[in-house]
Amino acid sequence: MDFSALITTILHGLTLGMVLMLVAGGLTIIFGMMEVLNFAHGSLYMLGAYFGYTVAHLTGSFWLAILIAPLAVGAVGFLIEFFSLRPLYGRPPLHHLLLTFGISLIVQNAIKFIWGNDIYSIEMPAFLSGSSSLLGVQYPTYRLFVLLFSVALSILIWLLITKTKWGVVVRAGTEDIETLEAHGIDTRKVFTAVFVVCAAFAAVGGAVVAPMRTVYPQMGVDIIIEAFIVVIIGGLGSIKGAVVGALILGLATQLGAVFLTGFADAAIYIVMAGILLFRPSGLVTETE
Amino acid sequence: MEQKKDVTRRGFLKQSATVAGAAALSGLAGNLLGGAPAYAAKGSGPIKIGVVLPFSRAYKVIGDRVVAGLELALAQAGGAFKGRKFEVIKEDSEMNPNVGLTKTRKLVDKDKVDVLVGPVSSAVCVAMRNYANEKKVPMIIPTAGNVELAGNLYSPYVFRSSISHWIFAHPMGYWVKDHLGDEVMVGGANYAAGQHQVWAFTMAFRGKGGKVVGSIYPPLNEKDYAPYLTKLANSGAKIFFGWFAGNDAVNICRQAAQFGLNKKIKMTTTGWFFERNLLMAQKDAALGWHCCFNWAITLDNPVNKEFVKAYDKFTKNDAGVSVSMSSVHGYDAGQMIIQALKKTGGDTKAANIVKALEYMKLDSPRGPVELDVNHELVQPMYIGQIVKSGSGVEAKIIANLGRWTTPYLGARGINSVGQPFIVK
Repeated sequence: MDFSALITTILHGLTLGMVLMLVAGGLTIIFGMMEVLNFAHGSLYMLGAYFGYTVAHLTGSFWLAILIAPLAVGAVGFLIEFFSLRPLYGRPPLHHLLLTFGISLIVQNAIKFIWGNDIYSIEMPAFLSGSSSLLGVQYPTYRLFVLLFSVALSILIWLLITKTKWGVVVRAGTEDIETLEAHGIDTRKVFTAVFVVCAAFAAVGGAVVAPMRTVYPQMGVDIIIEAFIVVIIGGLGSIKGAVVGALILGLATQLGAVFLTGFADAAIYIVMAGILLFRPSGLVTETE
Repeated sequence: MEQKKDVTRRGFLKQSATVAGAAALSGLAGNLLGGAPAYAAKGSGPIKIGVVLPFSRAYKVIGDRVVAGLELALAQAGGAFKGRKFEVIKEDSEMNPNVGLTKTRKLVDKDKVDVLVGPVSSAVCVAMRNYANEKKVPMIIPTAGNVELAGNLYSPYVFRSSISHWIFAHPMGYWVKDHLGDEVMVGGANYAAGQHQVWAFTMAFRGKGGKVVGSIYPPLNEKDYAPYLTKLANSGAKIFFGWFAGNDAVNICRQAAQFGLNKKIKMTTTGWFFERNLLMAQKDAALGWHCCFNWAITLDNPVNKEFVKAYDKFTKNDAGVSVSMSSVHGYDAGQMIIQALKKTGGDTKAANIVKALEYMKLDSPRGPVELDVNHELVQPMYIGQIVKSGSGVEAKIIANLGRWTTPYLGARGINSVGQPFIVK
């Protein structure tokens, strides 16, 4: 394999990883704070893609689509958190898993009811549809855009968490929720806000990926499995871990497809098994 | 799914000959020939058509369109034959052989249907075909493209209104070699259908002296084809033949365009890749592709124009079942049933229906078609190129390849399910 093909493959891996980060990051933050394994997170990603499709279809504007989709899904996230998760906080994690699994089924069937089973696509803006020259290889411009866009969003999440007062609360929440409450902070409001923001990030991921892939009723299930692998590799509840896990998964899938021909699907599970064998709690474990 | 119980073509002929001989001796020829079970001998009540198709998940889009086509054909015949109403009983196969078999059993044993129509999945098809064969119920396949139905899995009771993977890909192999070039990279979704298509294409392409320079087999339901497309771009191949269906077809088509491959490489495929509902999502990414079709909305013949008009009216332009190849396959299954009833004079005895279906000729929207000795549908094949049309894209027919059928393939090539032929 020559050098330019290697560069291309690595770029693919980074793009894939950063997109996954938008979903897996939310998954891990929600788990870290609320101890809820949100199985419905993939459905929120899917809803983002469908809302994005509808907006793009009606207005013809891609940019409006990736702006409105997260807002709409944020609203859906609010309803889910407020009416279904909230009454169950403090219960064993299995209850949340069953609940969110149920929600993911409801969302999936609602989508089939509203949009049907057909496959849709979002048209990318014309100036992003060509290819660009980078490190001596021709690479689709839209994929570069997706890469940079998700890196920018991830930096935004990082800034929110490390530089703002809100972020201090979230970080404290993932460590020790009782102490946070003892300081007079209404954790319920924090929970709702965190869930809504994470839902919006998943949705923007769905909408921004749609033009380079497709919008179809199984996409939620497909992404949630990958996102779970990411957080398991990275360490449940760790934000740094999600970044590391997402990049590992992205690179492993892409390199696996090139080097393990006919065996690509297995590549990531081999990596996961290897990591879990030596680091059962994931690569990054936050120390107290 | 007992393979031993399979009636081979030769075995069936021998058996029927013996039965016929014995029966003739005892003067009972008429009743026993074909061995129709007693319950099939009914002449009143509705004419029951048992449909086993996917009505949930991804392939609902095909199931719904087949039924719309079938129901259109029945409605055009007045919804009844000689005062007996048509009753369509729909069951969801869930694309699962066990579920498909259970539903087929229910339709045959409980509902006592006169004809079975289904399925989509080639795996379900094997299970369903075995039961129809065992219980001697006429069955029409409106989608599944399993080539073994013309060979090892031939049954005297099973007919095809759709098309096998062979008829799609084999003529394409000849045409690509004659018109596009001598070296090709091949690829397909890594399961039976993808491998059958690539194999049938390669048999023709290599047969004419062409060379296969490489292959890609991404897993079924792959979302990101980037590494495979990179391999294709770096291979230096000037032509690509690839076969994918459903969401996979939309994905790889759009991603190939993002890599600019449809401008650098001559991209070719066959029918299912550009099912019309998929084409609506592939849009401009499909421009320039060559495809071997058995039907396209642009086909210029009076039956097709009439059909498209009637179909749109019948479905009230419902986008969920917009006209496609699947609608045509369902429509022709309906036409077969009606024409068979006309021949038998309304008799729904299995043996008589089967006899009426043998070598049947139809005016399909595809053009004139007929059932051959293997119960495969001989049909016209066309080469189409995807071009701009109004606000969307459509297939423009650029060549007529004449009529093709599936040869008897049992003894060579594919020998049993799950042992496909992979072209490296």
